[in-house]
Amino acid sequence: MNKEKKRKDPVIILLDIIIVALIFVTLYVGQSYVFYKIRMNEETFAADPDKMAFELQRGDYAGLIQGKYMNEFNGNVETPGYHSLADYVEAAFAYKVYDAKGYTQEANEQKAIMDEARVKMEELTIFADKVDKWLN
Amino acid sequence: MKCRYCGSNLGLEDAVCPYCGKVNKKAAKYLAEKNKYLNEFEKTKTDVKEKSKTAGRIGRLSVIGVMLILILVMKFSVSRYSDVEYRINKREDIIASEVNKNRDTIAETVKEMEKNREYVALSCYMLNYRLRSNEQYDDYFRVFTAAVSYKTIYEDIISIVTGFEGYDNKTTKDWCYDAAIYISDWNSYVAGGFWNDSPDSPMHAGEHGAFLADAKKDAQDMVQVYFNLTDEQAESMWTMDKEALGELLYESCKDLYPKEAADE
Repeated sequence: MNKEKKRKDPVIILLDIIIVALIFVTLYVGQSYVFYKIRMNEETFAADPDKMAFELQRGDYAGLIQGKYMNEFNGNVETPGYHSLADYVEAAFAYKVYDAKGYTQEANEQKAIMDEARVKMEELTIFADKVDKWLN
Repeated sequence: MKCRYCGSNLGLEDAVCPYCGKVNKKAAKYLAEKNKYLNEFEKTKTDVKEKSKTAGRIGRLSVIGVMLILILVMKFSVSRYSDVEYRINKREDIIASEVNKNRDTIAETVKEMEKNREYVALSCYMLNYRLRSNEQYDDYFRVFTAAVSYKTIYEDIISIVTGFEGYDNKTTKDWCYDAAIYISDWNSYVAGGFWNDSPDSPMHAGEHGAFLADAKKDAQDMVQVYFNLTDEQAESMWTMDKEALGELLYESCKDLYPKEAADE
């Protein structure tokens, strides 16, 4: 039995080629779109775990504190460990002032914050130890 | 089938009986019907082929159309988002609408932070919601300036103590001089000397006035403790020349926070 060879419509072949080409164009434009969309979302003061880890690695404790506040204001609760460390640093700095100036009640309040933060920061206590070393 | 004349076997398409030679009328009818159905089948087959070809083309054209629209929309968005000014304005619009939506909560939070003397938090909050450029908070202008100045001095001290070099390799001396600028400028920009604030300005009245006084006192305590200044030095720092104050701070702290210790 003779099998009739199917001939594909040349218009459809052309359209298929156009679709394949457009897939590449879509991917190219799409990645630029996603890149700028992410940048748009990144232009906030909120700090994600990567940003806070980077700040800590650079030793930017002031940036860590600002990041904590910005996250709190923007409802970002992704980084509780870093927030506890930031609380600790803030309280430790304040404690030194109150202690030296003889403001006992305020110093005790800061000490309580430090103790609570130390429990919550888990593996980041190594940085709290560093801060203690710098301040004493 | 059987020949109606001689009774011998006939094929469906035999026009005459091969045995008796008589005409087979049923075959003619059968062939006519067969041809009719064959024609109809061919016609339907051609129709289906034609329709499926058209449907294939329409389908592909639709896909191309959707992809082109998608590409155009994304291309348009990319051209907008790649414009820094557009992104900044867009973010400002988002923040402004958020501030409008949460007007009461934000006002209450600012009041609470001012009352609790949360200088660093207030400075961050103000920055987050761009409150310094918000007309609703005109009376808070000096309060915000105090919070920003306090936070800057505070951050300079943290950097000195921890040995942080910033993102542009700053030295302890650089941080000391930076703090000195904010301390020396306090009376001008926070107390309002530069702006010629009238004594009864709402920016210095009531809780704002108390906040400004406390911010100055707390900043003084902080600088005195971290730079180990005498009471006299701490009190006079507000009126000192920037250069002289920067030098005093640096001389006071360079041995207190040696860089090597911070780097360990």
